[in-house]
Amino acid sequence: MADERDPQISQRYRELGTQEPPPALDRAILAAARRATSRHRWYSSLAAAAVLIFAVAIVVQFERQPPDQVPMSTPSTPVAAPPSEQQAAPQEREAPTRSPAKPAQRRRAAPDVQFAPEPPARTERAPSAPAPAPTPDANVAAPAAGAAADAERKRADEMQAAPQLQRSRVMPRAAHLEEEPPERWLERIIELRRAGRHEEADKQLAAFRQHHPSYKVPEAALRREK
Amino acid sequence: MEGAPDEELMLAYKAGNAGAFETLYARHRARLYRFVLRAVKARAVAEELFQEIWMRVIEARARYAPQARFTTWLYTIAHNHLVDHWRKRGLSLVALDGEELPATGDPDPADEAQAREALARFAAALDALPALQREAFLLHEESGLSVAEIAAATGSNEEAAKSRLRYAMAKLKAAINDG
Repeated sequence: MADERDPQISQRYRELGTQEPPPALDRAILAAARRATSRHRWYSSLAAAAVLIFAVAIVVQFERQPPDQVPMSTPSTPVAAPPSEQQAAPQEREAPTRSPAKPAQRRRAAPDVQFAPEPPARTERAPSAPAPAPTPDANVAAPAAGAAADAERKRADEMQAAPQLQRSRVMPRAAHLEEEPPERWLERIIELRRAGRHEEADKQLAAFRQHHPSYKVPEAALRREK
Repeated sequence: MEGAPDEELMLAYKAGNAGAFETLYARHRARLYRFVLRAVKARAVAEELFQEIWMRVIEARARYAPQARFTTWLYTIAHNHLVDHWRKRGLSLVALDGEELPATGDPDPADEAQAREALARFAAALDALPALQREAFLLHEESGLSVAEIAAATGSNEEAAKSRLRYAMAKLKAAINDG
């Protein structure tokens, strides 16, 4: 009922006049409206550019960082280092194509690797790195010789296939061998001889002599049989 | 965009189309101006408030969502500015809304002199309306808002809006017939 207009009242109201805002006021308001939209575009462009620069900066920063991260975990857990590096290397190659969020994830993941290595790394490491759990009885190592040889062969193949991985592996491995008891090292060399991997056994023997120059080597057991 | 609904124009302006705002402004400028002018009854104040209302529309464009008619949204902003204006001047809308209070408008001496002219009587009656009744009438007559939209724009309920409008129309009708 109240929505209905009274024609008489409407008529009188119209007779009051049709005042309008002055043109200067119109111009001022329309100019402000235009300024607001141009500012909007300017802010949008600036924001997009800032995001792009930030993303590039993160990628560049991350490209320079990885070598610093790995040694932090190697002194305390020398055995865990090789797998973590093995994981890091492919990631490094992929880094430029990844989103900026990934580097942050990787940086957080580094300590996790140290305390809880991922299952695939553990399975690969078990046969090839007997040092962390040396068996009291040296004879027990004999059945594992085949597996150890396979692992060594696999490692050699990987090194040939991925030369860029070689550097990252050799260094921790050398550190690892330095800590290995000399007896255990010699046993491994003997195992390599038995497996017919003489070239590698020779290399290991040379390395052994270099690291333990005063140690008396059982030449008969280590000699290459022809 | 000339024939586009107000809400579409406002969304286009929100997206950065300044031309959409010009169309929208051209549609509403005169009615909004008269609404403000007749609410405050002083040209200088009306112009200042009119500009502030449109500036508010420009500033609030990013938050605009077409939940109601654009007109309702626009006059809600206008109402809020009028409330601020009256508060700054120490006027209480609630008190002015009371039926028992005498009319607050002081008729111009020139209007008194032409009191016999119907139009002048009508103008005086409009000026003399309590602020919220006048606002309800102007929103209805000038801006074409329904009772529900008046309630939404003024932040009241429909019963209150209907009551204010009914009182205003009765007084104006009396001013017309009182000749």
